Formats: sequence, structure tokens, C-alpha cells
Amino acid sequence: MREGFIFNHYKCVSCKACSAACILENGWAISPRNIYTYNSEAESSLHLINLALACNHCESAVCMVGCPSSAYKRDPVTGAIILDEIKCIGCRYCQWNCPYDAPKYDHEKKTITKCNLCYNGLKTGRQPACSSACPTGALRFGQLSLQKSYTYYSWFPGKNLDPAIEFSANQGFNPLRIIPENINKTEITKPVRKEKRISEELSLILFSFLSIVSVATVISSFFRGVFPERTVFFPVIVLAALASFFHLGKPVRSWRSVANFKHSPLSREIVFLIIYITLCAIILFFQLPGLLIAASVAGLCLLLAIDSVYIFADKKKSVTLHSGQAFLSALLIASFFSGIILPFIFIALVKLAASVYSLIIKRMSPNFEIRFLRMAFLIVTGIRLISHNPFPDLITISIFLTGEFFDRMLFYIDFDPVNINTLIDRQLNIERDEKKRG
Amino acid sequence: MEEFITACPRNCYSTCSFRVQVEDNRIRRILPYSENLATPEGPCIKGLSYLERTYSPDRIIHPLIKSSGKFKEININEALDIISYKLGAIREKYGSQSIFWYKGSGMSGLTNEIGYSFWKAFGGTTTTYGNLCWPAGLEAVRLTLGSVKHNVPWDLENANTIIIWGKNPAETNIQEIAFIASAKEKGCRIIVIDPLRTPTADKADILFCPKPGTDGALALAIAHVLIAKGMIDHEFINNHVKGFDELKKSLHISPHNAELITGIPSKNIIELAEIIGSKGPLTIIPGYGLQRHRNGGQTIRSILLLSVLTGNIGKPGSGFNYANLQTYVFDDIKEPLSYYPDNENDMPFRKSISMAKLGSDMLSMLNPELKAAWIERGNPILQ
Repeated sequence: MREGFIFNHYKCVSCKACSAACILENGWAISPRNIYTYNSEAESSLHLINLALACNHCESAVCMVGCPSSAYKRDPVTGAIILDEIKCIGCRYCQWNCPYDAPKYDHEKKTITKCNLCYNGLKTGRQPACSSACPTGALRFGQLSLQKSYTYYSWFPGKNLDPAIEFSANQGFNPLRIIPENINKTEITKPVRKEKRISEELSLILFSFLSIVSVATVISSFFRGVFPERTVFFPVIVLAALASFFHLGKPVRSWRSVANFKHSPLSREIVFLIIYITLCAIILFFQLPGLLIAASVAGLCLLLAIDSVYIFADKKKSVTLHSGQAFLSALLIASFFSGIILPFIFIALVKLAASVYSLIIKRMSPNFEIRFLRMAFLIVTGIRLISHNPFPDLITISIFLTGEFFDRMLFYIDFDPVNINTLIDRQLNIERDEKKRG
Repeated sequence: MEEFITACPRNCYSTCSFRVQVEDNRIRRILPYSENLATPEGPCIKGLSYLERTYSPDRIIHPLIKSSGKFKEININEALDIISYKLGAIREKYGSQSIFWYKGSGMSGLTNEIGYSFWKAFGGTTTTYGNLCWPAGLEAVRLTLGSVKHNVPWDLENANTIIIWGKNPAETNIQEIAFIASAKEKGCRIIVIDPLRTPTADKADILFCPKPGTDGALALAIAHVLIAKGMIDHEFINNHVKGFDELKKSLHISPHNAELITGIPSKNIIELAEIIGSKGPLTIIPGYGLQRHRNGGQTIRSILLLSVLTGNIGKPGSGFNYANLQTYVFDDIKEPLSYYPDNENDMPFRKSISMAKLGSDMLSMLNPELKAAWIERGNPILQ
């Protein structure tokens, strides 16, 4: 039999004793246990419940699989997923992969803090601090029934990960009946939406865009039968590497990030980055055609690895068909620099179609200006390229690369890994719309 | 690791029992003490915070003296010298009752009232009578039932209808939610009466929102419906109730009248009355805010009337959970009379300042006038 958390939302009053007990037991600055309130603004037509959630110690622990430095491991006795903070490089990749928002980034320590199930105490028979402290018995720890009752909330994410949690309340799903009917009515007309802050992703946008440009330069020089301009391709990839290096919470531990090559796409990305940079450095001194081919292949592997980092985390497939994919963008930029018109037009049309798809079909309306400019810049580049000479002038290059940078930015704006925070709000919006329609 | 069993001494409904684990002479953990059936799951976040609070660098553990607007730390012996010199000088010149002793509730441990012995030995003082908290309701329950008692907290599980009237246990008495939830699991109807949609209201089936201060009218209208529809416990009334006929004659407030006062539609008042009259056992849990209005005591009596009329007193699942002074085992059953001035002058104490009229009563003291105030366990300027 498997042990796990058993939660009753009817008994939860959002008192946060579980969070406090967790901090007191483990001496952390932040609590990995959060209390989420569904319908926190008490919209009258909907029910209101609280959910106290932390790590659910999944059978398929995506945090552990994705971790580049192998900082996570499963405790063989308790089954708990434990983070070894000494190994954590602070890349925050697990925060994208976990749908429960269980790994928390400690800005002081610059590493992740995550529930460890108080596993040392558990081995001696002591309950986890959170469930033991719950004053109403809403949060318990014990034997899970074989019935998978986490299907309970239709919107509960990560069911395929087999989380060790189940829910036991069967009350509180009806909207509260209020008398007199016209009093204390709260109607929230604006949809609840948490705005994504793109500034936090800036170093990643920079890293991936510069990698794309560098690899494209190397490939195009191969097609043009010349060696790449030394002042471009190498400084650009070094800059990219620095951007990714310093976005880590613990840059000095970055060497650990190759530890999980076997499972983690992020680990593979870093390995290919290292190979690519090494080959580029050699090309600086030895201009052998074989090296150029090797660097092109390594570069393409790097870009595929970059794309797979996002595809792995993107459980909702929000960017699978995105025009800002690294591999696709590199091919476009390479054909642009090579002056090969036909592939350029073909890839540009694919990218335009994907952009239109994002805008219209998926209704990704925020940042409309950037989306519009991005498409306009690509069309202008195409027209200039066809009507002028094969090798582009400086203005066309600037317009084109700005457009591609916008595209990469949009990739991060649209990238939307499954996360309980946004999911709760979305479900609320859906249910409210359903109620309004009757 | 040593373990001690103790309790949370705050002025709170729950007064949780808990276990304290001590390691290297330092509190390591605060854990639930499940033997206390009222709080088996342990304290809330305030109880857990003792751990932090005890060792907080912000905790004041040395005397402070205020000079030119700033607090300065001083030695305890120095502090005692200053205090004893000043108190002694005032006593010599004006008499001991020129010193006013104000006390709030503070922590409710056994040392809570230790100041009495000091002031007695000092030769007396002027102090307060009355209380801003719950005495109106205590007196209301005592006048109606004879004593202020109710069923054990976990008896809520036996109720078929629970009315939480002007109380918000989800925030003020968290441990009670466990029993409400158990009752709810067994099919109990949860009704909250409160002008606000509190977190407790979100545990309810129905929330009634009367206008603030109109709870008495609502209760009397419900009583009116209960009697008119004959939904009362005749046997209980015949055996235990005095003055039922007089009550019946004087009960004029109809649901229609009450609608104008409370804002609750008359059809819903009748609906509520029908639930109260037919879906027993019924437990009513009134809060303390209701009785901090004009006629507050009578409001509590009107609500208690509903339990009495339907015979929901003294049976499993039938309670009127206002206050349970049975738990005041160390208080020498002084409540609620201890809140009133003694009939005879309680020398050496002069209990003549009403808590409710603190400022004006302090100024009106003569022979002797007040020359100094000793304030402990409270903050009268803000409270």
C-alpha cells in the first residue's frame, strides 16, 4: 500500500498552520506548502474551497527526470522525492515541469526548496509536520486507497504523474445560498488572469536567440563556402553562454548540470552547448572544412535540445507549433544569410502560418503589437529580399533580426507550462462563463 | 528529548492542549495532544508561533524606561527601585487608592491574577468593574438557564441542524470546524446567520444576512412562527419552562414585521423557523458580537428562547454553545458575578471604575483622586 496526503477541503479554513509547521520543522525561509483558494473573491454563483498543496511525491516525478544536475532522488524507504540542495544549481527547470508548483525558489539561498515529506521523522514513525499540525484534520497523511480519487477535481493537473494525494470531502461543491438573495452579491466581471512577467525570462530569451544566430551564421557560411566572420559567431555564442550561466541561482555549481544527460533535456542542451562552443573555438584557429560541418551538426543538435527543453516541460503543448522554435528559426536565418531564396520563402511561410495560428486560432491576444510587428517585419524582409539583390543590406538585416527576436520573445510569452496557479484561475473563468450562459 | 503537556493560555475559545518537545533546553516542536477531545488535532498557527515568539530577538525581556520620548533598556533592580520609590511616595502622600490598577485579560494561566496579592499587600488600590467582552451574554444565559454551561464541544457531531449565529469559527475557533465537518458528513444542515459572508459562511448550506443589530427581532419572529405553527416541545415546556403563557401573550412580532426590521424576507424567516422546529437535534452557536449592542443580553435571551421552545437543551446534539464556565475550574465559579461591583465595599480595593466608561470614571474619582495608573495585560487606549 502506498502512503500519501489525504485532503478534505471542507475542513480546510486556510489557517496556514501547515505552512508554519513546515517552516518551523525544517528551518526554511519559505514554505513549500501553499494554500490555494478556488474562487478567492467569493463570486456568489460559485462555490469556494481551499486546497493546501505541496509536493505530491509523484510516481513519475518529472522534477527528478528533468533536473540537469540530478539533485533530486527518491528515498527508497518512504518514496519521498528529496532535493539535495547542495547539488541544486538554481536553474528553476523543475518549476516548469511540476504542475503543482511544489519546488519553490528561495531568492536568498538561490536554490530550490521543496517538501521532503519530513522523511527522516517518517522513518521513525513521526508524521510530516504539516499534516500533524493541521488543527481541523483537513490535511492528513496515511494509506491511500487504491481508488484514484484525485480525479475528483476535473481540472486537477498531473494525473498521469500518479501523485500521492487523494481528496476526501464530498461537501461544499454547491454555491452558497444567501438570503436575502440580493445582498452580499459579488460578481466578478473581469476574467481573472495573472500576467506573465517576461522580464524574468530575459536572460533565457537572450541565450536562445544568440544561440540561434550563432548556429545560423556557421551553417550559412558552410553553404556559402566561406569561414564565418570571427567577430560574429564566436562572441555571440559566448555571450549566449554567459547569459545562461548567470541566470542560474548558483553559477559556480553549473558544472553539475551535465550530470543527468541520460534523462534531462536541459542537461543535453548544456552538453551540446559545450561541444558547440569548443568546436567554434577551434575554428577560430584552424579553419578546416570538416570542423565547419562538425560545428554545424553540433549547433543543430544544440538547437534541437533547446526546443526539447520546452517541449518536455510544455505538457499543454502551448508552443509545439510555435513559429519561434529555435531549430526552425535557425534554418530561416541560415537561408537568409546564405541568400537562398526558395527555402527562405518556404520557411517564412511556415512561420507566418504558425504566427497567424497563434493569433487567431489559439486567441493569444496579449502583446498584439509585438505579434503584428513580428509578421510585418518578416513580410518586409521577404519583399526586400526578392525585389533587391540576393545578399541583403544592413537595413534588411536589422529588420529581419528584430522580427526574429520578437518571435523568440513571443515564444516565451506563449510558453505556458501546466501550473496549478494559472489552472485554478482558468477553471474559475470557465465555470463562471458556464454559469452566465445558464 | 523531553516532552511536556501544556495548553495555550491565550484568551481564545479553543484553549488547545498541546505537547511541547524540548531539546537541549530549547523548545523544538509543538505537537497536538490528542487526549483533549476538544482540540485533538492541535493548535492553530498562533499556538505554533510560540516556538518563534519565545526566541524572537524582538521579544521584550528586559525593563524599558521611557525618557524624552524614547525607550531605554535598564537593569531589573534599577527598575524595581524606581517603581517602588514612586509608588511608595504616592501612597504616602495621597493614599494607596490614588493608584489605579487596570488589567486586561492577558494570558489565562494560573499566574494571571497574581497582581491581586500584590495590591492587597500594598494596602489597596482603585480598580475596575465590568468587562467589555462577554458578560451581557453570560448574564442572559444565567438568567434563562440558571447556569452557564453547554454540551461538550464534540457533541456537535450529534446535531442535525447547527446554527452559527454571529460567530466565525473558521477564523476564531478553528478546532470547532472539525466537529462541524463531522456533523456535516452525517448530513447535518449548517446555517450561518451573519451580515457578512465570512469564511465560516462558506461551510454553510444557507447564509442569512440580517441587518446588523437586528438579531433579536429575527429570533422573536422565529419564535412567533414556532408557536403559531405549534412546532414546539410541549412536554419540555410543561416540565421545565416558567412563564410560557406570558411570553406567548407578549410575542407580537410577526415575520412580516421582522422583514421590515431585519431585511430578511418573511418567507425565509418562516423557512428558517420550520427548520428549527422540525430538524432537531438543534445546536445554536451564538457569537459575542451580538451582545455588544444595546439590549445585547436580551438578544442572546431571544435566541436562546428558540432552543428552549423546541426542547433543544440538555440532550445530545442539542446545545446553546454560548460559553461553558464548567471549564473555569480555577476561577472559583466567580463568573459572571465577578464582573459586577461588590455590594459591600471590598476593602482595600475600590472597585468603582466602569470598564465601559474608563476615561470619565477615572476623572470623577475623589478622595483620593487618581495620581498614577498601573496598566497590565491590556491596552485601554486602543481597546
